[in-house]
Amino acid sequence: MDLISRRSEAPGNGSEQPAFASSVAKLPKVASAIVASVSLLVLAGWAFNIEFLKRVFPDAVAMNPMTAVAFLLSSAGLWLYRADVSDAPRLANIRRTAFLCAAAVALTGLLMFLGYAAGWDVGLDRVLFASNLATAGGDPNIPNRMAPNTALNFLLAGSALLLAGSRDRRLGWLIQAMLLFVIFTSFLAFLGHTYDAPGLYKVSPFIGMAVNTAACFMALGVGILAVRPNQGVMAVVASPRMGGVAARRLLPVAFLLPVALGWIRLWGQRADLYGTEFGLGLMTTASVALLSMVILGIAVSLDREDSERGRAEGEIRKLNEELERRVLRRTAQLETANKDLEAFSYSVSHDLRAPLRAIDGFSRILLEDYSERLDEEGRRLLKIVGDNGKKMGALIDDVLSFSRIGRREMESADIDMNALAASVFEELKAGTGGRSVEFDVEPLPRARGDRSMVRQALANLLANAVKFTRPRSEARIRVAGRVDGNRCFYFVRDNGVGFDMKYADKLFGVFQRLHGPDEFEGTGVGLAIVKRIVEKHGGEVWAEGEIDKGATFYFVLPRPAGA
Amino acid sequence: METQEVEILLVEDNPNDAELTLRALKKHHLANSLVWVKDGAEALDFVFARGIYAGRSVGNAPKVILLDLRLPKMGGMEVLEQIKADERTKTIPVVVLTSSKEDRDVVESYRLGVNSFVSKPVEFEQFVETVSQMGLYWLLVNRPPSP
Repeated sequence: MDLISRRSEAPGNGSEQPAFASSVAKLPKVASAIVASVSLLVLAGWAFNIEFLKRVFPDAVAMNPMTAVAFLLSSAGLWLYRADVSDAPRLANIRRTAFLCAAAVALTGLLMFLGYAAGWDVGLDRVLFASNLATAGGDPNIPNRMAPNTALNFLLAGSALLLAGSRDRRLGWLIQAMLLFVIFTSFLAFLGHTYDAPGLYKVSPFIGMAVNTAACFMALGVGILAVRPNQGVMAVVASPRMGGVAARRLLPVAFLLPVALGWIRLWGQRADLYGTEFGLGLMTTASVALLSMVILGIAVSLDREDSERGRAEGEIRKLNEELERRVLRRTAQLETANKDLEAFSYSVSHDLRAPLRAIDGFSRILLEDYSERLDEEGRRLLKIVGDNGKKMGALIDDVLSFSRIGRREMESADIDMNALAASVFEELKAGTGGRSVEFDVEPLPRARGDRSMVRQALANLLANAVKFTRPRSEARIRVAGRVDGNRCFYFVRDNGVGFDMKYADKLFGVFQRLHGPDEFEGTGVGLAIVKRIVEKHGGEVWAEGEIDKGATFYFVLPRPAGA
Repeated sequence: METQEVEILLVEDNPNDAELTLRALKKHHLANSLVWVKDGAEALDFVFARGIYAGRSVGNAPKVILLDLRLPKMGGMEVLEQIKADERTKTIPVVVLTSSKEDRDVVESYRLGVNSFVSKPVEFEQFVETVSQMGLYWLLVNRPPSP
């Protein structure tokens, strides 16, 4: 109770909910510790004859030593119940011990209660400190025993602890009912002691429940309730919403206010300040007035929090709308930029080619028509002009196809990679000029993606393999692949000139080349296109190589869903 | 004005490209009866026998029209659209001969009813080869409908 009332003073705003939830999670251990210390103190009281430890108030009923032992067992059971051990066999052991503790408590309660009902003296409560018990009843005519209501509460609390692990909802309600019964009967007994009304804590002619026993039962009840914080009463109290906040603030008042007022009323009546009717009227008026004030105060603070929450929600909505507007504006800007880019590349594709054609064309015409008037050097220079025109054309084509891939919509299909590799190689073979190229394709898994894009990627990789094996008398190109989870890994390996691994990260950059134009022709766009295509498919591409030992290019594509 | 039979109508604004095209066609003696116009409006005047071509008859159609897409005044697409929209001229074979390799140009041309789409290669030898093949096909191999 004390944790809840402490928390209830704090405003129930969002940031503190986890803190509250964690203090609910701590309740079982806190309750277990309280119960254990009280019962140890009682046992110490019995052992060293310290009356205060046994009974708190002079001449009141003392807690029976067996009751203290049963509390110790309950406390152990509750503590072990919340043990946080990840090791499975150890956890099972701990659970078993907790179960045995709870069972012993329930059995003790059952035996004692049945003993009372059948008029049969079980004697279980006279095992410890037997010689001291006879004169320690509180009422000198009754020896100290475990009271019948104490026995019943042990039966209920022990059973509740036994069943606390169950996930059954109906059992959950039964447990709650049993625990609430335990809590309220002990509350009654507690009041009986504070108001000095023995009828509230004892069933004549038997001995009554001790005040420390009543306090322990209340703590134990709350602790076991908190084992399942998501169920029933605890769920309401622990709720982070308005209802939970109201419950946490009102419940302590509901418990403490009537107790205090009742006690004042009783005190005044006993001091003969007023009669029963007058006292009752006074207490009722005071209750109504104080409770109304508390309720109004809580309502005002809840209202304030609610309106703050409303304002915060409004602000979030406003921010969201602003964000949406900004996204729309940005999207429009991006669309404009994209259109500009498209228009640019369209005009590049049209207008930049014509002058190049003229450069190549007319230098060739010059060579054809005026070759007898040009000397060797003149022809060589003209050829350089033409060659550069051609090269510029190739560059423009590659850059355009690179930028086109970025803008293109992807189509998705299952791709037969074996057929694709075979057809690409068939095309490339025409350009090998009769070189010996051994092409070895292992069975490849099917991939999922845009067929023409994947074809281009594979064509670029194989064309590279063909190109960079040119110095080899026996060129060997191997393609293989395997499935891993929902991805397919492929590689293209050649025995060509390879590359230095220290430039591995430069391979895939646009216009990045590791060879001069006099060694191997190329624009340095091919692998950049491969990377862009593979990344558009959500895959990755990388390379391994060694100078003069060949190169291997790996790439990853998604796997078809049904395969 | 002129009443003689025209085999090729070349619609090309770039004089260099026109000269290269003519040279390629001449190698195979395909440029004997070729008319070269430099913009889209003039091309339509020729086809529909208007303006300076008023003396022609619409029925006296060329065997093939070689049409560039980037043209001053009126673009190639619009020329193509008007030719293919008119009952009298829609049967004239039109070949788009352009620098463009853009997919959308190809798709749009075919949507408008083009008979062939040819990209002009940058490299001279390939250019000559492509243009002559095209000329040979449309003038000698292909059989157009009789007027």
